[in-house]
Amino acid sequence: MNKPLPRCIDPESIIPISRFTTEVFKTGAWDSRRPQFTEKLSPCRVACPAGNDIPSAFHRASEGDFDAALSLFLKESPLPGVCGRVCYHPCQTDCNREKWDGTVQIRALERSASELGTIEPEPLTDAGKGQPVAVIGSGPAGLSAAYHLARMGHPVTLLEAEKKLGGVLHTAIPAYRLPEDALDKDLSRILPLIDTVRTGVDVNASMLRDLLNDFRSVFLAVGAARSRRLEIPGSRLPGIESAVAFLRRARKKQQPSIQGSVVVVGGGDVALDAAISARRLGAESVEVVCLEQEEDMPASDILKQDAQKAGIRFHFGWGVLRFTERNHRVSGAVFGRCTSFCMEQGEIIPALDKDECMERPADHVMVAIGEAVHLGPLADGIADLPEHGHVQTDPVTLATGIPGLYAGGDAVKTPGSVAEAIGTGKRAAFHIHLNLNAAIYDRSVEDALLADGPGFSIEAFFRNRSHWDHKRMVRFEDLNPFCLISHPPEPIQHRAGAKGFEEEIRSFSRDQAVSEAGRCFYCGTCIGCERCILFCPDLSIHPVNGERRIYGPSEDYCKGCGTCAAACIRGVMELGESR
Amino acid sequence: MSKFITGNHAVAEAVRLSRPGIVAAYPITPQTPIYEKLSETEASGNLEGIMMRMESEHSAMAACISASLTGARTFTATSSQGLALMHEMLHFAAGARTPVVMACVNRTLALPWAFWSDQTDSLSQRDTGWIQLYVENNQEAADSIFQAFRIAETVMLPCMVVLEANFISHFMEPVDFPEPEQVNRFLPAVSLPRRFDVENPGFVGAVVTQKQYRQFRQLSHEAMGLTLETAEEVDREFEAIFGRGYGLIEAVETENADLVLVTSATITSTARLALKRLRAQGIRVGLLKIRLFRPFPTAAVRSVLDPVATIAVIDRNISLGREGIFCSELKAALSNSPVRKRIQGYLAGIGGTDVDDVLIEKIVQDALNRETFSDGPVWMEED
Repeated sequence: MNKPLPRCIDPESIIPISRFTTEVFKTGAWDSRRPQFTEKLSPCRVACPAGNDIPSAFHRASEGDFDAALSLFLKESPLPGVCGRVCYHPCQTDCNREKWDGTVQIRALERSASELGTIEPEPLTDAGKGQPVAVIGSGPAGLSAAYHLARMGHPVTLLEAEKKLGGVLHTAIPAYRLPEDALDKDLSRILPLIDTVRTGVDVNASMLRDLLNDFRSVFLAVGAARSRRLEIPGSRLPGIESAVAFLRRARKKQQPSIQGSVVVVGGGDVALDAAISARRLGAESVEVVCLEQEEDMPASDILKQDAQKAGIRFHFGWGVLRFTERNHRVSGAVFGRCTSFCMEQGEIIPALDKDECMERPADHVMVAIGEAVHLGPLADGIADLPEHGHVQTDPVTLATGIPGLYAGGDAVKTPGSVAEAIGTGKRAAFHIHLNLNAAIYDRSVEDALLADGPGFSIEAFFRNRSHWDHKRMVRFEDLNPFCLISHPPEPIQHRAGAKGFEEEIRSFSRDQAVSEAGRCFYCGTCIGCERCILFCPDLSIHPVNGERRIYGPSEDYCKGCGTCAAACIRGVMELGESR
Repeated sequence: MSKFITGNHAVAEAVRLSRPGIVAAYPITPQTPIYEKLSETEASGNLEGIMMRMESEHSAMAACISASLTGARTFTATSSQGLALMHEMLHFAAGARTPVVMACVNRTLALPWAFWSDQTDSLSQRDTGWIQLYVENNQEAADSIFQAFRIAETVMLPCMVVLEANFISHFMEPVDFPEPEQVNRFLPAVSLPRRFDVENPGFVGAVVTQKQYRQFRQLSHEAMGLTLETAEEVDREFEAIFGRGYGLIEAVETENADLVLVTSATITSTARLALKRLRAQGIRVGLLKIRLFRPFPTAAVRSVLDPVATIAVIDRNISLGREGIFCSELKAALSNSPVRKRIQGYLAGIGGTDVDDVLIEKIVQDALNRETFSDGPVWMEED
């Protein structure tokens, strides 16, 4: 018979061995602070006038799921293919990865999502059923408004003066930046949602009155189609045209042929698009002359670089005084040194020094000194609508003084970007819907405003995102990317030669897009990496309600050490205030 | 089979014959030859277990503890600074009740920097809960390794076999090694509880309450008590098989002695020689060797020393500000003794100086002729 072991050597008694759990020790009682899981805004999203949820979309793209990535873009904007090509991408300027190993190629990735994803936009609500809304103008603002109104259930009638939809996207942006089929692809996602599309309809005042009667609301997004003219000696000479008119001709199948020397007057995006287009159409020399000094030139940096690459010469700080003539045609322009300029009712009034002059020869002159809003017959006899100049609106709701009439895009503010126009279209659509259905919502636009606005998330209004602080932005200092491997951005490939009007920038391959999307820090967005769980020394971080991608501390066991917060790459987990 | 061999290599050979599953160690003078020999043995395919070449002694002990919790037989070896670095893990090993066996080669602790024999390194680990055996020669070093595995694995406590730098570690002596079958009979294949088991996961570092802590300490202390019986039984069994026994202590001619000299480790063998010479001169002097230091064999010591009135203790170590550590321990063990004692502590061989028979005779003469016994130690100067 075996003698029982003395207790002092009985393996079961001699050491505290836990086979199940040590949960008897409520170590959480020791804590003074608790980690807090709060998703926040990324700088790119705050910078995006369209309010795109870039980190979430890129996380899905990094997993190779471009349908999901596209779906996330389509929640806020109907034009990922357009923005993925022409946006001035303020998102990239603010990207936190810039401080690490180079900004994420956000614009190129939005294009990839549009090209590689095949998914239909989803409706937000059907509450707008039976509340028809008319949208006048199918530029980025009009398309955005029509799209979001339709997603909120409204039967939308879209009216366009041109034969084709797209407004400025169709008429003014050169095809080498935005090819026709890219616009068509975005339109193909929007149009199935729109009840009625009428092109070639130039809306006048009496039609507007009818629309206001027949529809519950009307959104006015006619853009700023009229080019400002120079009223100076020689300004009506043949060979001088507005840059917008020139760009419009350049979009036609029968492109104009430009020979000799070209002078472009103006320093905005339109001026540079015209200058680069002229060069591509055969101009031997192209010079851009603008009032501003180089650092104040309003054109986007991307276009400036493109213009320099195209061999275009710049003259900064000059204003045109008069044009010279030879054989009843323009032969050049005389410029005076610009000493200062001021804005008066939206017009730039320069002070030019006639004693310091510069003369440039020119076979063609393109004038791009800004586009003016000109409602003309549309405003005829309607109080509160000016025939010339911007339409006045409430800055938040974009409602005009006329009940039921809202306005956005360049008609309200110029110069504006495509992304800003998309943003105002969305905002107007939202307020039209909210105004008609105020009673059914207990939320306000405040709940969807991103940081201090004006960007807002229509998705956030309709789908309450828990554990998300839409007022706070994650800065680089809030991140902990030091465990990540440095990886420079995927190079943007340009078509060799840069001649003609074939699209210049190439798309990312699928592999490149996956890799570039994988570079995103996903600032403020939890991707379920679960480093918080992994690094917690007390096994105290768990999915909240079993839901992956929302994590919280265990009340009983979290000691508040903050390891989870330190381990979080993305600034989602943070240590809360002292208790 | 007899081999002319250093103490370090004798230990390594005994370890090989003991078939540990894991040897985890880090080299340090004067222990390094143990590490090297076991490493070579593994490389030549003659080590049954795995040799883990660790990045520090602290890690070496951590590896031994974890391996032991899985039920493996474990061994490590170190010295001096290495042992000091291991200190934290020594408490863990004892607290986890892991029967890790370690050869500790006594070496001076820095500063000053030196490599000589001095017992203060191992004696500084007195309160870590380890069993400590101090050995006298190369044969006893090897034999104590076999015994240490048996004792440790029976009482579930870690055991240190302590041998002195140079005098054992690097001196060569003939050592008898048993045949593997004999070792297997004395020290069968390991059979330890698998407290770490992937099939039945567990955690041993959990926080305990105040009361639980006290209870676990009490159990460890009881296991130390059981170690006294176990070590005796194991030694008796060893003697029956191999013909060599050492006891917890060894008393030499202590009956009716006017003075008993108390020693440990290598000084004992020299003392045996001095004793013979003194006895030949008619001086009634006895010798007590303390082999087991932890648990302290109080009862065994008292059974020998209770009747003795005059005692001299030689220490190759010092608890600064007190005296030799064996001396203090002895005084404490005898404080309830019925016969009043006069005990004098002598410090000899500190820093690894040679303690020869002449010096030991000098100590005996000093103690016998002394009128007053001092509470502090007498520093003996080498020639």
